[in-house]
Amino acid sequence: MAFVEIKGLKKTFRNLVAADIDHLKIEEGEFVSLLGPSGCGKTTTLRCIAGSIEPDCGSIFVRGREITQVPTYKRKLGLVFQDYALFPHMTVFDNIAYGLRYREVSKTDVKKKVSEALDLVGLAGFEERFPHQLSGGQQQRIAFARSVVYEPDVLLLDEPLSNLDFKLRKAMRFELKRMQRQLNITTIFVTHDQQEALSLSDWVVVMNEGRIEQVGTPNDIYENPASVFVADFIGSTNIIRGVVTQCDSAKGICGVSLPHAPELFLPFKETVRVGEEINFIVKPEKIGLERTPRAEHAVEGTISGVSYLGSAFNYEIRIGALKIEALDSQGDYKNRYEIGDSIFLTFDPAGVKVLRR
Amino acid sequence: MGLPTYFKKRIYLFFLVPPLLVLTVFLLVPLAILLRYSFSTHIPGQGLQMVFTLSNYLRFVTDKYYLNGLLITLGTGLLVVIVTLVFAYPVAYLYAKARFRYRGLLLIMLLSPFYTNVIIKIYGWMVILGRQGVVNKMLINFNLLDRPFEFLYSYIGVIIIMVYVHVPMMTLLLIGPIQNIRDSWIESARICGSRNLDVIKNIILPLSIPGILSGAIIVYTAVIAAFIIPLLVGGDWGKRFISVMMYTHINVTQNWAFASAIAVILIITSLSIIIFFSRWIKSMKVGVLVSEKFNR
Amino acid sequence: MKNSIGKCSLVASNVIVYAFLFIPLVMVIGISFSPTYQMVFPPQGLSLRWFKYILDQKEFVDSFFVSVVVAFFASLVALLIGILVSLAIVRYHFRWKTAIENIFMMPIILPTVVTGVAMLQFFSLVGYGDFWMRLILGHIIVTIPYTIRSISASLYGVNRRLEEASLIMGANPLQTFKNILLPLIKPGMIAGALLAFIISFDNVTVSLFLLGAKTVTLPVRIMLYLEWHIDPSVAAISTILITLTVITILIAERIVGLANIMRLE
Repeated sequence: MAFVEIKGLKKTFRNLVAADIDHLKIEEGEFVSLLGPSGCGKTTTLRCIAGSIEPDCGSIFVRGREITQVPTYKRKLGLVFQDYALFPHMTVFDNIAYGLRYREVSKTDVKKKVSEALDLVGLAGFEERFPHQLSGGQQQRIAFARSVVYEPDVLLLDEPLSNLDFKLRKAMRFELKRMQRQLNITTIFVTHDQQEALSLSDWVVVMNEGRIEQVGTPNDIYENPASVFVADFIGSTNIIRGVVTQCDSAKGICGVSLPHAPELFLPFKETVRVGEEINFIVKPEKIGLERTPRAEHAVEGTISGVSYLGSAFNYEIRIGALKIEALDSQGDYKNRYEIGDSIFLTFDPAGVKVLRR
Repeated sequence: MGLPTYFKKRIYLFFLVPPLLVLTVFLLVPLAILLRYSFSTHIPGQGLQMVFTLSNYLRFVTDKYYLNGLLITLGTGLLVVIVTLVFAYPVAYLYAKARFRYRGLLLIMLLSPFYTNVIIKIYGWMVILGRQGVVNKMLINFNLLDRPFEFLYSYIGVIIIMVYVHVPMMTLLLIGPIQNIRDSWIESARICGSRNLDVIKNIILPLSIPGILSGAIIVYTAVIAAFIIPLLVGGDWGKRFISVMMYTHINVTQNWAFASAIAVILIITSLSIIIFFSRWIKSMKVGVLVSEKFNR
Repeated sequence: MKNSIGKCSLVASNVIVYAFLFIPLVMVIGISFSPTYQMVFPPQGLSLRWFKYILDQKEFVDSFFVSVVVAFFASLVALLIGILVSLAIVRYHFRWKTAIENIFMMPIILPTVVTGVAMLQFFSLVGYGDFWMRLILGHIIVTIPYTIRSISASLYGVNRRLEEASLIMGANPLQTFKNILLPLIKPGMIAGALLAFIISFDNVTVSLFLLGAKTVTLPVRIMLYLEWHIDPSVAAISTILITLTVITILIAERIVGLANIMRLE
């Protein structure tokens, strides 16, 4: 059995299905993100694991032991809240030591562990401060410290970085990953920010309306989204819908007709039938742009928008009524394309994928 | 989002059991007894007869003395509330709108009379308005009066003292609603060119009305239930107040049945007023509720 | 703020009203130092004779203690009840919640006379003769709404996550209550207790109906005294009581912050 295993978890609130998970496995030491928009069930799932919410049915196992019926305070888990929830009437020391109070640790050991925890988060010497004297980032780190000091089996994080400002958030991301690696603690991280999930996790679980849409490594999720929802949520890809008109298996190219746009020829890896209506993605960075058509099925389009990103160009291209985004990191500033330019697009097979859901 | 399991535990219902027990035994049951007594009769010399009759209520409703008493009580309530409002509103307004360091001092100045015992307050006015009191002495000294004027045991005295007692409470009740009138609204009215009086008429007053009404209801129900003040300084007028009439029937004629009926009538009157005006305010509040949400 | 005329009239009206509120009290305090039976303001001299006088009056002193004892026990019990009811109301959602909330607020909504009469009838009917308990029970009923309001206001402000965090870190519900919840509602409890004490001490109506030979509270005693005498002795008592009230308010401000209490009114 995996370190953490969830089977058949269901929770409904007044006719709204909040969570509906058939099976989820997490191995020891892994950093797993539950990713999705608000209301997708990620927080509900997390709180079921924590014991704050009682699921309607299903089982949760940690270290092979079923904890579904075990009360929260006996589960040996750690939880960091979005608003940190530090006890305002206690010092930093007492906040961190709180978890050790109920686990029979000697006084000297408590002191030792607390200062180890503070060292881990980089806030040594802060023992006597009160939460209201700390900045947001510091509070967050204390929240982390007090959740790990008693060595829980699993660390749960409920959008812990959402309340931080942008710059701090990026810095804390690295810190979080470093600390998790150092402790090698199994971590479940809930977020709606796909950048966070992709940069931190070993595995990403994309959720929508209570159900799991896709489980995969960050690379999988980004390169091969399993459904339209995942592709759309992760973003930075073109999602196109059309009908297959013809297929040339020798060249591996199919024609797709789109509403109000000329026919596109795309190298699909998957098998498609003629006449089938399909959704597919085209990765912006895998589109080739040329002023003159060189490849056989290059398609003509017009540049309708240019964004200079410093390291690359983001072009918006119109093909008929269709708008496609392309990312060009090869070209240089002098030879950039401008709005109104005519351009020819070729599609790299690696950047094209059919979505079956 | 649902509530955590911990908070759903039925144990909280058990928390309610002792308090409910106390309240039921010592308030609800007595009130039930009161209700029951109101339907019984009293025979002088023999006490309470446990029958079931509406005679007490009929007596109240058909005797002009009691009906007039009710009217006097209700009318006085209205007068007192209006005068109290006039006094309380500016104080509430200043406190709500002014942000300066010693605002806490104002609150202390407001709360000190509020929490001072009503008997002391009455005594204070006895000193001022009594026959040997300051005002009479002054008026006689300046030859404006030959004999001391009985301010106290008259209608005037009752009104003055009731207003005095209720101004702090009304002020406190008004502060919240006035704070909900955002400065930015007043500012924008000014910028559009309104003069002070117009701003008051068009912005401040309309927006104050729900708050004024809520405060007014609370003070009104307190005033019509007033007991000590009419009893002590009301004189002949005071005797006509409902609560004093009730007390008289208990103390003097031992007619608990009739007294209970008066009590029930008083309760029903209070509750009806509260319910009726609360509904009315709620229906008004639609516009202001939106703004209150903004302020949160 | 506003232009000058507006500002002036606002400040002026405030001065008038505050003066109106304070003049009777100031006069009473002044008279308490009067050396004679005369109740003139300003007093014709300064003397503590009336203070000495009331301290010699056994009735006043006894009544003072009666008031203190009753207020103390009543506010204590009201506090406990307040905690229990607040926890149930704020933390648990059940069908009759609003009805229960309103029931507990009844003592404020009901005319105090009615409460007094009803309780008196009840005690007479049942034959309960312990006057101390009758008085204390009456005061408990009257002060319950205040402690409930005060504590539940405090409770609403407590972040529920704090309790969740405590549970997750290993504390059971009882420990969570003791270590997390209780300290955080302390302001509400203190404010509630102080409020209950003041309300109980000041109560006249219920105390009047439920009194017994030995259990006459101070306000009632003063009232009875005033029926026959009007002299500065009452002023002396008043001065003492006013001073105690102001001190209590200042203490409450220090500990809890008065604006908090005010929001509960």
